[in-house]
Amino acid sequence: MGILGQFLLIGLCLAHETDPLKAKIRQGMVTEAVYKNVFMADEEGGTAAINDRVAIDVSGRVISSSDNQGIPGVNILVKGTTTGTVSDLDGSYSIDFPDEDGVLVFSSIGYATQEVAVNGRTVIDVVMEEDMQGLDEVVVVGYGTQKRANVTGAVTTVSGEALTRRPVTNTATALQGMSPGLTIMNQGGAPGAEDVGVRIRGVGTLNNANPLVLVDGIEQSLNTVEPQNIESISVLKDAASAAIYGSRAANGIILVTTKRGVQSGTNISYNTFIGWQNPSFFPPKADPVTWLRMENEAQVNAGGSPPFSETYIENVAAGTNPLEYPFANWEEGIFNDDAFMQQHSLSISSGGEVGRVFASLIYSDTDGIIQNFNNKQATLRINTDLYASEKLTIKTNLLYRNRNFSRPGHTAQRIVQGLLHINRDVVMRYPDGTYDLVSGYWNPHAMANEGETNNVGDDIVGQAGFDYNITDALSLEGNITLNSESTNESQFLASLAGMRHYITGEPVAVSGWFATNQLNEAQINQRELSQRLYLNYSKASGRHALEGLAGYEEIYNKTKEISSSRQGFFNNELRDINAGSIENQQTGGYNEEWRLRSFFGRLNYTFDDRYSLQGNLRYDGSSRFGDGNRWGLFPSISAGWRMSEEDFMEDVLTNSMISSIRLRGSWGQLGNQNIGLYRYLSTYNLGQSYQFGGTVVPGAAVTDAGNPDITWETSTMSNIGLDMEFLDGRIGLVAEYFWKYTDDILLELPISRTIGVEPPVQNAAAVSNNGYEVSLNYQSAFRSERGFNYSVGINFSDAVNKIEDLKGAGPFFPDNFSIWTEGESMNTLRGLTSPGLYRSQADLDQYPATLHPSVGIGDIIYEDVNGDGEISQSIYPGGDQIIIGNEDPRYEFGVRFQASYRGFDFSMFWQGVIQKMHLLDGAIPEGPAFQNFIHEELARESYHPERNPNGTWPLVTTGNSWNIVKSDFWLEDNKYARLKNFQLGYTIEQDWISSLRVYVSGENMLTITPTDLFDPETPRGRSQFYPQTKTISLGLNVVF
Amino acid sequence: MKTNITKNIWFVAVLFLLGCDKGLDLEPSGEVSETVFWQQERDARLAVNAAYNELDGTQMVIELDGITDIGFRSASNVPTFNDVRLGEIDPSNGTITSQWNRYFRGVRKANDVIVNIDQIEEGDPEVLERLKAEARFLRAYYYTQLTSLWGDVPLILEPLEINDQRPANDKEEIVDFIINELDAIINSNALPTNYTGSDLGRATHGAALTLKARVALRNGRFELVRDAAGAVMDLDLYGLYPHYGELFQYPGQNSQEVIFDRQYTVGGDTYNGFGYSAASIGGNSTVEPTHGLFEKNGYKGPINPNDPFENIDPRWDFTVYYTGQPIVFIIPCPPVIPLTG
Repeated sequence: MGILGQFLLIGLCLAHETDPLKAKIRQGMVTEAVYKNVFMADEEGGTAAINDRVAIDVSGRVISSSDNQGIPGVNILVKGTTTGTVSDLDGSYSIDFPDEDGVLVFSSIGYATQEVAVNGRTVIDVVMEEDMQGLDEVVVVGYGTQKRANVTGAVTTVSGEALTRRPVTNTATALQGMSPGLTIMNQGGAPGAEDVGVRIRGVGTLNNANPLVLVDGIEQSLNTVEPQNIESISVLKDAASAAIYGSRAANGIILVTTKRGVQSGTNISYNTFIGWQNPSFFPPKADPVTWLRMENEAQVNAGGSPPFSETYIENVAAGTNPLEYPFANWEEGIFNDDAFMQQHSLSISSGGEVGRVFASLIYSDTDGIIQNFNNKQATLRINTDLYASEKLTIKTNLLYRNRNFSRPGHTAQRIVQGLLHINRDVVMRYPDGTYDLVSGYWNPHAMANEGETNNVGDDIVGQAGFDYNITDALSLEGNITLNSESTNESQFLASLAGMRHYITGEPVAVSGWFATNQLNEAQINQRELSQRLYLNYSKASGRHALEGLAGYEEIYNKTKEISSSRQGFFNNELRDINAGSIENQQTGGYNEEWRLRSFFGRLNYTFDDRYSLQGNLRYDGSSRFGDGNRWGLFPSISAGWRMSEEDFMEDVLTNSMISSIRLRGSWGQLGNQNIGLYRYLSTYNLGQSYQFGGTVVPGAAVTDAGNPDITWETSTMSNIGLDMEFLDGRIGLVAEYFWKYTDDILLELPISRTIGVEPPVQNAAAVSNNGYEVSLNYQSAFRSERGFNYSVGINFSDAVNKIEDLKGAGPFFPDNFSIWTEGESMNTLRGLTSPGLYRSQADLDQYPATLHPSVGIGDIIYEDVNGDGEISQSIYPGGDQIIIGNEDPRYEFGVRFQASYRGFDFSMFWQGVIQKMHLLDGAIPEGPAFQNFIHEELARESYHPERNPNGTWPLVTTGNSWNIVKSDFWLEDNKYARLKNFQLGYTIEQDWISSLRVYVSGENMLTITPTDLFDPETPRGRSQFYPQTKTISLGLNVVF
Repeated sequence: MKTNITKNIWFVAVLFLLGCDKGLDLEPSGEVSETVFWQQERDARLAVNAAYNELDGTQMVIELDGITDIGFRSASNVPTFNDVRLGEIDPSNGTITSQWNRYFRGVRKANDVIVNIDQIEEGDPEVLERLKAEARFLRAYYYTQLTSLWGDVPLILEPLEINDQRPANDKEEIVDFIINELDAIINSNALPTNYTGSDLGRATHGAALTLKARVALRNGRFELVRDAAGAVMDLDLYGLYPHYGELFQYPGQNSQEVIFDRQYTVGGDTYNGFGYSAASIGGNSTVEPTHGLFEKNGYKGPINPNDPFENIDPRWDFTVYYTGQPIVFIIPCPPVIPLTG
């Protein structure tokens, strides 16, 4: 045990307590807890009939496996009763034991709970293993771990167990709502290519705002790391916790730690689930008869004649003769009902005197809710720790992942675009397999079923490291890591040329992407080599504790892509590049590399467990910047004060429910180097060819200016925090307030055009994010293992985003909707303003200025804001557009409820946003004006002088462009609360294996939102997205 | 043990102090950075070639006609030259600013050559001198266009830093500069009188003289016009091409009627004249000729009211489409027509 203990000590990074005072207090707290437990249980009559047996007196000592020292404050219960005691200062205990055949349960925070059968013994010494999973005590921070009690920054941790509760394959999705201040927007997407936006404390830059995700210290995507392999996730939100990552930390850090082997023994577990997915939301469409009548109405309102006869409409309604009177059901033609998914994960965790190992094999196979979409992923992970000597541990991590994503030739975006925008009076598919093609190439059903795309990837992460314990206080850690991702992308677009019409037998006109077959292939290789070495110091003497860290890290990344394409393949089946014609063939590629070299340090001093002070410093050199601007220094300081340890608080604490109060504060600076490569250099663009005498000659010129002065974007962040515990820790409250100011944001400021080159990026803009976060957790009083236990967790956060400075330039219009201007949020919307619809001649007289001469009764009124008698779509005062709102999500929340009773467990998790707006665009507002998708709301609400004089949507008119411009008329409230997950499980009692649990689980099964038009998590745009899914699944957890 | 720690600390310290920037000075391998350019003759050739591709294309040749009495620019919902016809140009008119930007891109490219070409050590000095003269000629050409259209413009003679701002110079100053530049080119004889093969289309001695004549003509310096134009004629290289129609086809390219032009070729820049033509024959009717064009070029008006284009100059067949023109038989319909002039 001695050797093992030594290494445990190192593994925990000296998190063990050595301060007797602290222990004493904890003992007091636990005693009180036990007292209350007993008291409460007594009230319910839980202690009946224990005095009938032969009582014996059992005593002994509880020691820690890591240092053979006694553990004070261990909670010792007689199993099945509420009788219990607590170990004293040196770990000794004694208990009146009612039954000589009973079992004692030893538990303490930070240690694995043990059950010991008494078997008539009167002296029982227990060695307790420190519980590696006990995140309550030890928090993973940058390059190490810290006691939660000493953490002075804003760090939220999420256990792997909490993540795997949800049967999802994507870790980013599983993190949604788990941490206040962490915004996860699930924007749909194909399996394996989910579009999940991750933001920590709002968007702090006009450029890439993704947080840095480090898996065991290596930058990886949160979407690909398997939730089952995760031991814990730490979200580093403020400058104090993130500054140790310097120039990569401005958007916050997500630290993922993967599982390692157990200290002793062997666990084998198998987890699986099967699920069925459907679109979580799609606007309900009008029935075919209404649909066709709306199209007729649109034509009539435009002065035309109705395109669909009564005969046509009657035939469509009756469903007779669908080839002569077709009405294409594109939804059926592109979506899968109950798309199947399955995942299997087998893991082995084992440990002994020579080391420990964690190995897992995970396989998932997910069909898409759009036809012919699928993702298969297989992952092997082996994490080993070898105890080479008493002082040296060798750690190796190996990951191999195979990704295999497939879809038809066309993208989901284009298929959904077809569904929304292509008219329905065509035959989706004839009995012989041919199609009607609109404009010669549009048929979403054909697009979802022709051609194929395969993205096959191999990821390898190999990490070799060591942990060397130089003295009791000093240890050296380091590793070398290779992270290699290689992806083969292959897209084959099939040709439909030569197709003959099913009825007439005439050749069908084929154009666009169906005119000729084409293969696009690309090979992308990314190799990242990194190395890090750091020295830890930790020493406690008396009431002083000092921890230090000094380290070096270097990362070198190289990405290479080559691509080729050919057209004119012999037929649609021969899909090898060699089967294509060399005419019009194309090749291309690029090579990119960057390097980051860093030195960093941390110093942490704690006095009497009351006052802690921490400082971080990082010095980063990046190849992304020019000479003289390469190096940046990122400092942070933070302090914590455990007020509840002060003498003057003693009365307050004893007379109230409050058990602990701690205040924290931090300040620091972070950088963002995620800004592209070589932007400091002016480069000669080789694409400037000309022609002489009938020959193309190459040319080269500087076309885009470099900016040699370009440097980091810098965020300065302050944070204050309050940690409180009530009822002996059963209620925990964490509250934070932060101020974040990002300066030197890179922006393409306009330059004088006489310079003759495109403007470079310059450090020009500043953005602030100020906000707060609160999380509250409640744990019910413990009522024995099989009693009704429950917990509730609520988190709530908000941040206000504001562009502080654009160096006098702007406003900028990053897209059709938005405006970047000083003093407003980055997600600010511009548009015309509307008081409603023209409903009478009086309205026309009151608002004579119109966007188009054809505007009349039933159309949208726009206000002539600048009073020039015209409605023009440019920003006020030149035009009539003003700021009409913003799309920032405000007041985000997550609510988690978990309960267990006997073998049953139940959990549910709600997530939502209390204030959010969305500006409609695309087919939803356009409707029949352009033969687009017609949804029920439009059919029900569109104005018509006779049919629907009270309609709230404008009159439908074919070719109408004046009702679909950006205005506040189309601003839609999309706040929401969504049941992200519920789960009901049952642990089957049996004797063959350690644990057997079955469950049923639902994802996104219930959504409460005011809008009927789109999924509330839909990103901005024309609704042409792969839709979000809802999933019902059945799962099985087995531990052998 | 202690020595090991010391070693490690030293290792880190040495890295910190000495090796800081090694490996951080990565340069792109797919793009040519300014640090490796301007080393050989090829670099100068590439840079001069690039300066040619800002020469006027479709936009100026046809669209500019649309704002005069000889053409009509169709209406458009985005700002175009049509706004000039309507008298509604504002500073944000992208069509007009893009023309300004284009000429200043040309000036920048030419200045880049003129300022940097002398750094080149490897290369034929005669070729380098010619390339430099070509760049000066192109700069003079772009300034001719700029000052003809805008009058006072900033005179910029070197690549500017990104935050530089230059005021406009007087038109007279610009014209003097152009004429002095062209005189220097002409007197140095750095440009040859003709080229062969894949150099056909580069600026010649004759082109410099002709440009001088043009800029002088536009600015009322008639003596200079007379002398320069006379010098061009004295070269005895140029004359009318006998078959007008072929000027717009392959045989007429780089003929004796062409002194200097923008070059086109299949596989490089092509000229789609049909794109501007009437919608009925596949164009988009962007710019249509008006009666003014006919009057300007000696058309006497309809003599026979039943056939207004009876007996007109056959060169009209290659200039505009008119009612009754037998299109199919005159122009074999390739999608791309090389156009000179």
